[in-house]
Amino acid sequence: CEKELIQNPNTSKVADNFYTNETELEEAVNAVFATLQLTGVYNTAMPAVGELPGEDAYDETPANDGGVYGMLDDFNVIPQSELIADVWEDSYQGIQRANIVINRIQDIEFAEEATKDARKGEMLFIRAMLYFNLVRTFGDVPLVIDEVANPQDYFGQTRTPVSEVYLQIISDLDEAVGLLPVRNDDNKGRVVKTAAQTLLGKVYLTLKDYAKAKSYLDAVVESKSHKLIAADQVFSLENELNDELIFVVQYASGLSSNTEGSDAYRMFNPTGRVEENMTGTKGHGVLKPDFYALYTEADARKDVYVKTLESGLAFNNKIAVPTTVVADSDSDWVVLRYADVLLMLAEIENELGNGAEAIDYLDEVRNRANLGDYTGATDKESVFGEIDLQRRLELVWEGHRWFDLLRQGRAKSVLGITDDSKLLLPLPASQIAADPALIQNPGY
Amino acid sequence: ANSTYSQNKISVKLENTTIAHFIDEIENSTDFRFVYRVKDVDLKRKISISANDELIEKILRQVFNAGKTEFTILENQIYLTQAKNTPKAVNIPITPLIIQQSISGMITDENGDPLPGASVVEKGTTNGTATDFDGNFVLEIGPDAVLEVSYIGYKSQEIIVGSQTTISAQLEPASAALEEVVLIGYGQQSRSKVIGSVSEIKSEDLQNVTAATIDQQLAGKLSGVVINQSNGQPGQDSQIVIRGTGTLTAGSNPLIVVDGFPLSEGSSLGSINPNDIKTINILKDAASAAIYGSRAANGVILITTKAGGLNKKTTVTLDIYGGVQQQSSGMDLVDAYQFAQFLTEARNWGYVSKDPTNRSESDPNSVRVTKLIDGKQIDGRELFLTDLQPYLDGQSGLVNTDWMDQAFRTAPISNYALSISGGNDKTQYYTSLGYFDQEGVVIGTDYKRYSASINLESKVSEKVKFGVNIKPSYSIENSVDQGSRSNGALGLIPLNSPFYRAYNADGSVNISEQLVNEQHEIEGVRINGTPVENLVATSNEVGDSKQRFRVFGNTYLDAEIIDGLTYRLSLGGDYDSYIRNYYYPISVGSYRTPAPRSDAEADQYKQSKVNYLIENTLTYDKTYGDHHLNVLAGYTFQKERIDLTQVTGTGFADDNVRNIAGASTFTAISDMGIWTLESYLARLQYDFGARYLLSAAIRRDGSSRFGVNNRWGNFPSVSAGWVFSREEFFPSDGLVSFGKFSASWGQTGNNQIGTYGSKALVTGSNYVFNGAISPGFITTSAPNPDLGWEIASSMNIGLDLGLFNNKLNFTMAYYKTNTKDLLLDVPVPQQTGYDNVLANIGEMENKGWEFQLAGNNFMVGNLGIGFNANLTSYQNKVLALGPGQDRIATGRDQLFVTQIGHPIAEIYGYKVDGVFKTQDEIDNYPHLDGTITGDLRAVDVNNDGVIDSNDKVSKGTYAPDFTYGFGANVSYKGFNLSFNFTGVEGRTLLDDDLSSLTESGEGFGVPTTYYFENRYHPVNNPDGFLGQPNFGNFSNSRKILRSSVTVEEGNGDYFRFRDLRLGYDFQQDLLDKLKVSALQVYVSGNNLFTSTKWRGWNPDGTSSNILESGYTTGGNYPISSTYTVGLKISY
Repeated sequence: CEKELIQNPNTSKVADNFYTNETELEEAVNAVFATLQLTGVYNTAMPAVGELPGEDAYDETPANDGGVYGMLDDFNVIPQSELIADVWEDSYQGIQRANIVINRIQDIEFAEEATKDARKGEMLFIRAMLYFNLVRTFGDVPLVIDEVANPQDYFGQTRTPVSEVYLQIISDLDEAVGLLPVRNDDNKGRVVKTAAQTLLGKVYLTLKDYAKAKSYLDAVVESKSHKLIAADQVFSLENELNDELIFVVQYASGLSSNTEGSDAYRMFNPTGRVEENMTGTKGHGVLKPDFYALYTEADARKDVYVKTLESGLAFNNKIAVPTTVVADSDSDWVVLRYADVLLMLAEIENELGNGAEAIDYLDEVRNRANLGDYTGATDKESVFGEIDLQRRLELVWEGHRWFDLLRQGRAKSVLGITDDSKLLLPLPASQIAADPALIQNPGY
Repeated sequence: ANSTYSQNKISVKLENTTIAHFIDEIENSTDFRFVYRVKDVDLKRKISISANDELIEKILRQVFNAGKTEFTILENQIYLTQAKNTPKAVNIPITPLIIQQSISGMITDENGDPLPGASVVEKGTTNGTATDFDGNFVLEIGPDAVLEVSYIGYKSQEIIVGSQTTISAQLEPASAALEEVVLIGYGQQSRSKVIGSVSEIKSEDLQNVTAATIDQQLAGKLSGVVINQSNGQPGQDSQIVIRGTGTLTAGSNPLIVVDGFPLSEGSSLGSINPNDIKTINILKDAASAAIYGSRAANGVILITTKAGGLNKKTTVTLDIYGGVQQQSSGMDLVDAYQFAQFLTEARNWGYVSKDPTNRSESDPNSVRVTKLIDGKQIDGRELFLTDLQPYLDGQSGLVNTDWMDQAFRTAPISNYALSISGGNDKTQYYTSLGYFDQEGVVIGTDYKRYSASINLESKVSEKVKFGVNIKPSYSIENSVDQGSRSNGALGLIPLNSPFYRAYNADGSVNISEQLVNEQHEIEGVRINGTPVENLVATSNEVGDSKQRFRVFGNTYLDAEIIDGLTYRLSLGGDYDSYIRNYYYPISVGSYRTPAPRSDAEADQYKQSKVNYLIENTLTYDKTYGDHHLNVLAGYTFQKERIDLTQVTGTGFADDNVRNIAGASTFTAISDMGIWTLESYLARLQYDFGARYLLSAAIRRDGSSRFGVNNRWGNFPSVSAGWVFSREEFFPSDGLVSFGKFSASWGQTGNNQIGTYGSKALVTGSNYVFNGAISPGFITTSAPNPDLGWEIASSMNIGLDLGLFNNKLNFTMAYYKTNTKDLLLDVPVPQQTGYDNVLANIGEMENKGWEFQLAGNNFMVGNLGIGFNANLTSYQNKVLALGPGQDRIATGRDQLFVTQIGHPIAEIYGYKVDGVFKTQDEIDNYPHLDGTITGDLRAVDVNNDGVIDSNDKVSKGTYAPDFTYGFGANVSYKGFNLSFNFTGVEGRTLLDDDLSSLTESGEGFGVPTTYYFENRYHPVNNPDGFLGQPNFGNFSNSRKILRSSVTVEEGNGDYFRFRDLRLGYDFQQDLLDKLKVSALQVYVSGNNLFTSTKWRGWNPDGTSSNILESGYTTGGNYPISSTYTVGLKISY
């Protein structure tokens, strides 16, 4: 009966027998993409981290849901927050999954070498993107780029300095740029070369290396893979994966018992929003009236990107109303798009002293919004002011604002923060408890 | 004897019938009763007889004349015996019987009081009589007679008559507790020889508690066994902890063995009808349990079900009880008027405290909505609810719904058990039918069980016998998830506001009124109240039914190969089929979503489990003079397969079809698991003159669950005992009549890690590309090929004493268990991509003392008195955790701390000593960030000037310091009164509802009366010491301290009046008239009274995660008080 003691799972796969061929590797790649849909990544947590601390959005019901959104809004996040625990856990889950594929793909034969390259590039892109989110959110974080065989070996691992993590991010993205394909109709839902270039441009911009940032973003423009489209088409469900979008995390409603949709609609729409019999929104990310007032009557984005309830309460309208279940919105989460590239380039050119080029990029965005060319003062500061305003109006509720203010070093002045420690979020208390080698950020 | 009966004339007419039928006929039509041994009478012999008004002797003579049977008539009893070898004369003497001597006498008990009904029989004959009410007897006996005097519960005596004509005999009570046979693994043993620690309880002691399952009946009855009835919902199992929790994250279920068949882990005891149980033996120490090896670390529960008996008359027993239950909990919530007061304070203070300089309580809502801060509109929770004004003004007659009254009911419970048992000289049988029906005290919950039992054993020959035990049962349980804020009645009690009615004026259920109204707008701002559905609607309309059909049992063959050597082959099986159907209709709202909702929710979960077991054992039992030897060797193999599918349906057009069939799209999950266990076992038991006892056992287990490098484990044990009272030097007439000292050591294992715990599993995680599912699979659990057994080494030292001729028995034991290689789901640093990894890590110790005292058969006149008491102490200490890890802090706010040198899951919290009443106090006292006035004040325990996690202190654990139980029974003539108390000391709980809803002071839930009366409010309650009500500006300091303030050391202690039972057994004369053999009526009550400080639902509540023991939630179904009336009748 000794044979009977060897029992292998019949309904789940086992790592020993997996990752053996292209099909299985593709499955693993899909599972890496799947982590981007998690709560702690682009479902709700990263958008909230990127938006709520900014000056335009706020939490209408800050005490609700354990206060995790309200804390971001009020700069009093506690290490016990479930939201930051999700960011940490889900991001690292994605990183580890990417590590697995990167580790295993080398020995696997693919029908097309280009596909293999593309998959590897996708993994590097995703890993870099997640680390980029982590360093901007927490500062120093433990860097793991190998497939973990025994998790217990990682007790005692300390936080890697931000600068070293950035080296890895840059190296990953550099490699990805070389591996990823040019965007076409078949691959537009995946990671394309311009996505890695855009992200790398953003990384360099964050590091204030304007020249390098410019070179990568210029490449995006020159690729002609992307263009601005009508404002009311950018976030339209009929027009998903359109040319303006560079990288999105895809969601779909009504699949797998309503589990593939996004929860962003429910979480961030005002509590008073009723669309037919669709109710149950939670109000964790509405917009301030004075911000809504910045949209002029002519602005094509008004009542498209943003709208108000009858009561006057303003909200982000980029996420489509779900059809059956409130937590199952069909909208993809847009991570990178061409308008962001143009506005980053405007900012870079302005910083490099090329005001005219900056205004050209700015005008592309203004004209799409029906605002006409920029006619204001052309000094660096004024142009920056207009670029900043257009970033707010164009990219509202796409999870950029807080990180923009951080990289520009303006979070304290714009938001009135006096305590430097508020510029980073605390590490999750559960992780400090799990391994004392992780030292909490100061002030928490 | 005066044969008055024998003068009666009877008629009988039978053609070509058997002796057996003849006997039945006579017994049915007359008062005569036959007494015989089956082997002495040829029951199948055919006869014909026709008699009209004949003397019995004459009829019997006709019938037995030609046979090999002699008869003797004594009163109404006819004794049939085998004819002596000497050939009988054709006319056997009928009357007078051979009478040579008449003897009379009196039989008394140990106190000299007469014993009515004692049996006096001439040894070697059927000649005998019973004592009368005064203990007297008269008997005519042959020469050289020896009298055997016996009485149930007393030691039999033999008296040589000699020339005496009167005899007085005083009987000594039998030391029943010590003589009785106790079940041990794969065998049995007399209690006086048991060296390990085995607790036994009999059905009579169980039935004092009316419950669906035996676990509940066991609570408080035995030392070393804690039954946590953590879920009082009908049909739910209790948590059974034997001598402390010995594991951290592996399963903590004891192994349950029914009639020799080990059920798979976590098996519900609900499939066993308590009425079918004869005894329960609990193997507590490793030496007793080690024979069950890798599954025994949490203790072993051996259940023996009722069986028939050889040569036993067929008995039909009907046992019926019915009664009512009521909830008993510590929960007490405020009424509508107090709630209006609280909510107004909470909303006002939430508004004012955000900007005290610019805001005032007296601001009307029209002003409030203009008081923006940093451009942000106010939170709707800062509005004053104008609707509440009439309540604040104390107007009478307003809606004031007591939702506890709506959620709870007086619920019926009833049980019907019918059993038939008996046997002839070869075959014995027991069969039963049971029906149990319990409505829960919470509306929408109920449980029904239909069960049967068949136990049959038959001799093929003197050397070979076989048997079958089969137990089918079918149960239906209805209950929604009580903890849910969307549909559970209990979870909704603190959220359903007393301002709303449960029913409309027309009697229909009031659907979604609260959901809609709590989201209404004032001045264009939603009030952000508590939008939940009416619990009456959810409880009645949301369907969640669980049906289980299960049949388990075994069949065995015993063959005595040579004298003393027995081979047994046993084949066991367990089939368990479970279906759960869930439906949440469109027509009932859920949290934040009023009815009609856009879709219904439905799923169906089906699981089937097939388990089989093959056991081969050889037992050799031999006595050579004073040497007694018992050797056991065996091989067993067990395999289980579980299949499950879960189908979720969405896209319901309406509520017409209330299950997944009404859905338009489906998703399904399918899973299957197999585990196997192969074992070799051996045991040697030896005793010398029942005085020196020795036992050694070993089991070798191989399990499919463990890594390839660690598949096999060995589990040895040794034990020794000394019955010093049997030594010659020991005074035989002293106070101490029995004394035994024993010591044991053994190792047991735990393998409850799930079926594929050692594998790195690759599981599904899908993405959508272009709106279509793209299946993803990736490693989600880390591999561990070294994963092996959790091994518990335990030591037991015991002392057993019998006093006053063993009427008083005292047992004490010291136990100490070290568990090594703990199967721990270690929380690992998440940068690895994993949250936990299952590994053999760490070490833990459990130790304590057990005392048990039992007194029986103490007589005061006709009053019989018995009593029992038990006390057990528990000390648990973690000795080691993972490498580089000295503590695991987990659970709510990481307040559950398991660290080296401390017990598992200590609940940490800040010491809170009141509230900050002024800004000045805050400024001059260490405080948490964001503290505002009215917030709780934590004590700076380490005096370092800041409040941080270093100021948290341990407030104790869920695992108690000690548990105890005591009770007594008193009998007088036919009356029997018994009662039991039980208690738990040193238990701490953290309740999620108390800390986040009912005592947090946030305005979302209805507060407890305790909170309301002690809340701080500068004007309305300036002496309050709990946080000021605050809705909408609930500070971080409150969030951090709200759990601490409800966690007090020992808040889960309780003392409970567990059961009270008064029964009356009808006396013989009435039974004769009713033609029944026994009739008992009784009334009983359970959980009549509980003394506890606990303000939540149930002080036995806990999370099933051991690292978070003592964490309870709002769904914690309270234990009910039960009052029943019952009747037990046997034919």
